This record gives sequence, structure tokens and C-alpha cells, in this order.
Amino acid sequence: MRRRSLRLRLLVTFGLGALVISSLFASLTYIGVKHLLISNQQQTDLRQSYVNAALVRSTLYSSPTELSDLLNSIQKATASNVLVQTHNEWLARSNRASTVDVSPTTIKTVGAGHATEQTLNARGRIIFVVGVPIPSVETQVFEVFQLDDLERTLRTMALVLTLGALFTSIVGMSGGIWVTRRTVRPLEEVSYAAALIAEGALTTRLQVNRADREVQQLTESFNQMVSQLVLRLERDARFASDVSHELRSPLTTLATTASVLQQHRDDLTAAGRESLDLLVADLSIFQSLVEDLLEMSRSDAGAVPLVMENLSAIELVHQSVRSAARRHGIDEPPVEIAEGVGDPLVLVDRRRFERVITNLIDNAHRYAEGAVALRVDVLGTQLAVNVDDAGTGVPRDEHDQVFERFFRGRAAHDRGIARGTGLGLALVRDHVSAFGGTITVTESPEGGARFQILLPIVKSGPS
Amino acid sequence: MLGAIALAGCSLVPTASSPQLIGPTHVPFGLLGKTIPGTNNGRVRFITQPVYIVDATGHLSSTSRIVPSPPVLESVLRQLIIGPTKIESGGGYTSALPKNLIILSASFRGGIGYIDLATTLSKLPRSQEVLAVGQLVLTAHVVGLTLGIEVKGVEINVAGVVQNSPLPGNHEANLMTTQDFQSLLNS
Amino acid sequence: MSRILIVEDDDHIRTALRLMFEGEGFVVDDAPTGEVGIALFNRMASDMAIVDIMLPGMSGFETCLALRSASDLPIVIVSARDDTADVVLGLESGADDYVTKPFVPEELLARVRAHLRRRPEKSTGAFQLGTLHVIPDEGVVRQPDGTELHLTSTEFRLLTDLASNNGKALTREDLLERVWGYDYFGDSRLVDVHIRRLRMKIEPDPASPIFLVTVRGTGYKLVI
Repeated sequence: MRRRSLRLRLLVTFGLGALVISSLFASLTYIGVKHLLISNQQQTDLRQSYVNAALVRSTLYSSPTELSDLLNSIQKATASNVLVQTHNEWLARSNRASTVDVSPTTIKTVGAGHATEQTLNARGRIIFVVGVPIPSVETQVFEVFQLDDLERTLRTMALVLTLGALFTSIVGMSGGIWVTRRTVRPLEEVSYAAALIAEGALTTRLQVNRADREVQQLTESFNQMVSQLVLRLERDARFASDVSHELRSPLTTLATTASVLQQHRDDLTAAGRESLDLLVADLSIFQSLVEDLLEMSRSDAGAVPLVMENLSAIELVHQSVRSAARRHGIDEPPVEIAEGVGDPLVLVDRRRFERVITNLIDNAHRYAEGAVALRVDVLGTQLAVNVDDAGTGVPRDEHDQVFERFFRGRAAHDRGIARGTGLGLALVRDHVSAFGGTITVTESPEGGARFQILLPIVKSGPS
Repeated sequence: MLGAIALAGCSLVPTASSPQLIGPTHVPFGLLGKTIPGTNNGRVRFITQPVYIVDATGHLSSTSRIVPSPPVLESVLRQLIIGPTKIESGGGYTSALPKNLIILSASFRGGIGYIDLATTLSKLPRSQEVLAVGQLVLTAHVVGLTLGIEVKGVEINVAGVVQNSPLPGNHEANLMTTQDFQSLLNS
Repeated sequence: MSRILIVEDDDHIRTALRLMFEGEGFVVDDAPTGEVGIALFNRMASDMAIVDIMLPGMSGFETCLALRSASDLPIVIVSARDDTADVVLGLESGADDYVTKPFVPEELLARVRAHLRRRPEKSTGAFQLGTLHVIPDEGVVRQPDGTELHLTSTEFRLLTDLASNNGKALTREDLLERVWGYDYFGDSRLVDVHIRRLRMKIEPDPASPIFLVTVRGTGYKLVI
């Protein structure tokens, strides 16, 4: 089904509609008025003819000599020409009268005793000829009326009505445009806003305070709907955060009591000690998971804004490595700075960057016997931080998936020990994206996995 | 559309190819009646009767008057006395007959037209008298023609006294004819 | 033996902490509310306090302020969140450090031990700071009118550490390690807030510091 534009339809309806209606109106008006004008004119003219005929009769009866004068004065007064005939001979006529105007048919018919009327075209002009027989004086009176004025009136009227119809059509079309603007534009705005929101611009709202009540209702409802949806989204996002949050206190108790048990380790049996070890180990995973979940959901809900600073990348990497190593109780992997890197600055949130490095080193420790080195290099306008290991690497078909939440690749299944939380790499990707950078996994020079972070360099410091 | 027609210049008032009859009931004033309202007269016929007046050059000239038919000599002659119409006057026509002239009677008997005047015309200047008489004689002749009478001549009486012809020449004739006044006719 | 005051409203956590610290040889006074905590402190003169921010009634911040006004004992606040606002407020209220729940109990132990090491390791001679006379060996800052300026042990350690660096700048990380004794990446906010607190106390105009100067891109230095 081909969808037609509402806008177009409205415009056409209004424009055509106005045209049709105004034309109809104009036509009807014209026809009506013309009919009225013509019949009025005819009535008037006929009446005048009768009066003049009576005048002719009485003049003939009283003073026939004055007939010509009568006819001329009639002409002077009314601009119509009168001709009087008797027994097929012209008895008298007004000065400007022309006998050609009276057709033989008229003469014959009137001579036969019938009054006649005829509108005809004589030499390019429209005339109205009335013939009245006056048997009592054996004469026929013909009066010729010029219909020029009537013609002119009708013509003017036709012109005015046409212009009126045209004008109305234009107004109608303008009305259509105005209506379209008021109705279709809000619709377009709504669809545009909806598209923006779908893409993620959740703060998009429609402008309120519209003139039209219906449009106002639409925008208000729309905005309300979006706000509600956003609230739901945020609430959902915060759920994980809330859950993790609630787990804090019980976890604190668990961790602390586990420490206490450790203090009294010697009082336990071998089984007790083994159980305690397992407890402590899983508790540690539990704790990490809760922390990761919290961090993840907070970043999802945008709850904690980043504190972005321009920091020395190299200094940052060194400190991150140091902290990561100490936190996990592992040896610090060496940091290798490529030649000519200088001291570039990057715009990052310090604590999240540290988290990223920590997670990558931890990942290498878990799945690949630890990171071999952290290599820092400059590629074009970007800083590259490579965390390389000498493990079995990441299979090519898992290169994208490995950053998914809770993704367990083949490597994890293979190793079967020291399971991570499953969120480590996902967090890394989230944070790196927030910095405006990218992370990819390729192969390290040692044959294992290379996790490469690319960050835009803000400014190169002095080398 | 309308505008096109209006601008094109075609006629807007509808024309008919032949005259339309008007029903007799629509004609007022009893125009179609057999008699003139208020009178008992039967149908009156009018004709255009030639008469003679004096043109600007001082000649006798023929013009016409609408008179009932058949024309009555007396009435026609009285028309002469009334004088030229406005249009005729405008054209320089005049009447030689004095306005106060009274025609007592005028009629035809045995082919002769007898005109009785109350006062004589001989008191008028000769030129005017000639024209005046000429008007009377010529007009009487053509009236007679209209009536189908072969007019032999015209006699003018004043209180029973036959007036002599004012024409130069020495004829006693009291019967004047058209021929007598030929020279005065405008050609 | 060192005496620790633990102010925590969650019974389980409080009990577990008490067990842990007693197992390490500390004497523990524990209180479920701030009011009880302060009362206990006044009676027992604890060497160190661990205070939870979220307390019913008198808040953790208020408890901190009250304790700080009475003594310069090291205070560690425990927070459920590590939002900057809470942390800074806690530190401004007089705390020397903070941990977030859930914490690793061993870490808390390590921090407590670090804070109880009162005297700085390096001996620095007395020096003049404007009109103030700083005597590191005695842990005292004397004002021109003879009265002592109260600094917490942490603040004092920070001041003397910077002084011992001969006007050279130290990074936040350096300071964290040297003053707080952390051998892992701590929180630089600790340093920032303590610097601010120090400035409020020793600078004639804290908004435009002349002694404790920020060095952009590096950290802080002390100009004597």
C-alpha cells in the first residue's frame, strides 16, 4: 500500500475544495443574478414599451402631428428608439432609429395583431425589440432597446466573480498550508522526537505550550510517556545497583566473620580448615561480583559521572600496574614504552582507567599465566596500551564476544579454575568507550592474546 | 470558465432567432383593444398626408403631416396654420399663413375645393400673400389626391367674396390650380 | 594495647568487627549509635575510631565532628557508597580515611595499624611557617600568641612530609604512600581533602595559598 502524504492530501483538499466550492458559488451566483438582471431589464423595457405605445395612441388621437416630437423626446429621455408603422408604411420614427433593426418577421407578426419581443444581435450590438400592435389606430409600435449596459454589467460581474473564485482558491490553499502546518508539523515533530529517543537521546522532549489544545495534549502525553519510560529504564538500571547495594552489609559481615574464622584457624579440624578456605575463596568472588555489578549498573544508569582529567598516560599506566599487582598479590608485569612516544596526555577518569588496567592484568593472570608486558605506543593521533600475555590467545571467532557480559569462552572452560566474575572485560569496554577510545583483542608477539586499548591523545607533552 | 467567456467578449445576453409572442393578457392599457379607451370611436386610421410649407429659400416645399384617414381638408389646412414642426423650424421652414388666420370651412364640391376664410389675405405683403395662397392651393390639391378626388381648382372666399389670385398676371381666375404656383415650388 | 572505638548500627557487622579486632589483640569499645559512641569515647579515651556514616539519630558526620573536636585521634569512616560528596564530607568532618562496604577486613586492619603509628619516621627539624612555629618532634604547631594549633596526626604528618621534601612537589600517590602508608593505590581524594583542611588551618588566606601550593600536573609542595 503506497502511503500518500497527509500534507499533500490536506493541501489538495483545501486548495481544490476551495476552488470547486468557490467556482460553484460563483457560477450559481452568476447564473442567478444574470437571470434576474435580464428578466428585470426585459420587464422594465416591456413596461416602457407599453407606456410608449399608449402615448403614441393618445398622441395620434389628439395631435398626430406631434408624433415625431414625441418619439424624439422618448429617445432623448430613454435612449431607446421607437418606430411607428401603419399599413406597412413607416409613419414616424425617432431620429436615431433604424428600420433595419425591426425584422420583417417581427413586422409581420405584429402586423397580424400579436405583441412580440426579441433579443437579437444587430450589427454586433445586442438589442431588445418589442413590437406592440395598436389596432384602434391601425398602427404598430416598435421600440428598440440597447442592451449595452446590461452586457457590460454582466461582463463585469463575470469578471469579478471569477477573480473572487480565484482569490478564494488562493485563500483556501493558504488555509490548507496553515492547517497543515498546525497539524502535520506537530506529527512530524513527534516522529522526529520518537526517533531521537529510540536512538538513545532520552532527554528529548517535545516543546510544550502550544496554541492548539489537541496538539498541546499530544505533546504533553508524549512527554509524559517518555518520562515514564525513562523512569522505568532508570529504575530497571538501578535495580542491579540497588540489589548490589543491599548486599553490602551482609557481605561485610560475611567477610569480617570469615576473617575471624581465619584467626581461629588452628582451632578447626582439617575439614573445617578446608571448608573455610573454600568459603573465603568464594566469598572473594562474591565480593568482586557485587562490586563489578555495582560498577556496571551505575555506569548503565549514568549514576556516577566521570571525573575526566588530562593525565600523563605513562604515569597513569605505571601506577595502575603497581596498584593492580599489589591488589591481586601478583608480580608487576613490566611496562615497556616504545621509542619516541614522549609524554602524551589522555583525557580519562583516573579511577576507571586504573580499573581497566587492573581488569586486563587480572584477566591475563586468570587465563594466561599472567601478563608478559604492558606495551605503550603511539599510533597516529592515538595512544595504544597493549596488555600482552603468553597464553593460548583468544580464538578469532570470539574476538567480539569476549567483551560481552558473562561470556565464558573456550579458554575458561578449558582451564576450569579461578573463575572471574564474567564482567571484567565488559567493564573494560564500557569504560574505554566512555573515554572515547576503543578496545580490541589480537595476537601478542608472544603468541598469546593482546588486548589493545586505543585512546585519543589530548596533547603530547615534552618528550 | 466564466472568466474566459467574459474576457473573450462573447455576448452574454442570450439572443433568440425569432420574435417571441407576448400573450395578449400581458399587454396593458387596452392597447390591443378595438377602440381607444374612453372613446366610442371605431378604429382610426392614420396616414401621412403631404402638405406644403415654405422652405428657407422662400419656396413652397412639400412636407408631411400625420392625419387620420381619410384626411379632412379643414383639419389639414388648420395644420398649415399651426405652422412648421420644431424640426422643420430648425431647418428654416416657415408658414406664410398668419397664425391668427381662421378657416371657417374647407371642403370639396364637384371637384373644386372651397376654402372659407374669416379674414382676407390680401392685406399681407404681396410675396407672403402669394406663398400663403400657394400653400393653401397646393395642399388642397394633394389632399384631394389622397381622397381620390380630381381637383380642378381651389377657390378662396372671404365673407362670400371670392378672392382673386395674388399671382402676377392678369387673370381674373378665381380658381387656382397647382400649375399656377409651379414657379414657386422648390425644385 | 590500642583501644578502638567502633560505631556501627548494623549488629552483625559490629559484632564481626569486634571479634576480628579482638582477635588481633585490640581492645574494642563498640556502640550502635553516635551518642553512645561519644559517651564511650569520653569514658574510655580510645586511641582510634571506626565510624559508619549511616547512623540512626546523630549521623556519622556529626559523630566525626564531635570526636574530632574532642581529640585528634585517627578516625576512619565506613561508607556504603564511595560517592565523592559523601567521602569529602566525611573527610571534611575530620576523618583521616574512609573505606567502603563491603571492605576486605585485612585491608581495614592494615589501615588501622598504619594510622596508629603516630610519629613520622623521618625526623625533621623545627621550622617556621609564616607566623607559625612547627615542631615535628613534639607534634606541635605553635601560634604567635603561644597557643597550640590543633592538627590531626594525619594532617601533621602531611605537613612535615612536605616540609621534608625541601620545597619540591610531591604527587598525591607519593603522599598517600608516605603519609598514609598505603602500599597500594589509595584514593587521591584523601590527599586533596586533607590539603584543604590544612590550608584552612595554617594559611592566612586559604583561597590563595602561599605555603601549601598546588603544582599543576604533579601534586603539592610546601613553600617555607
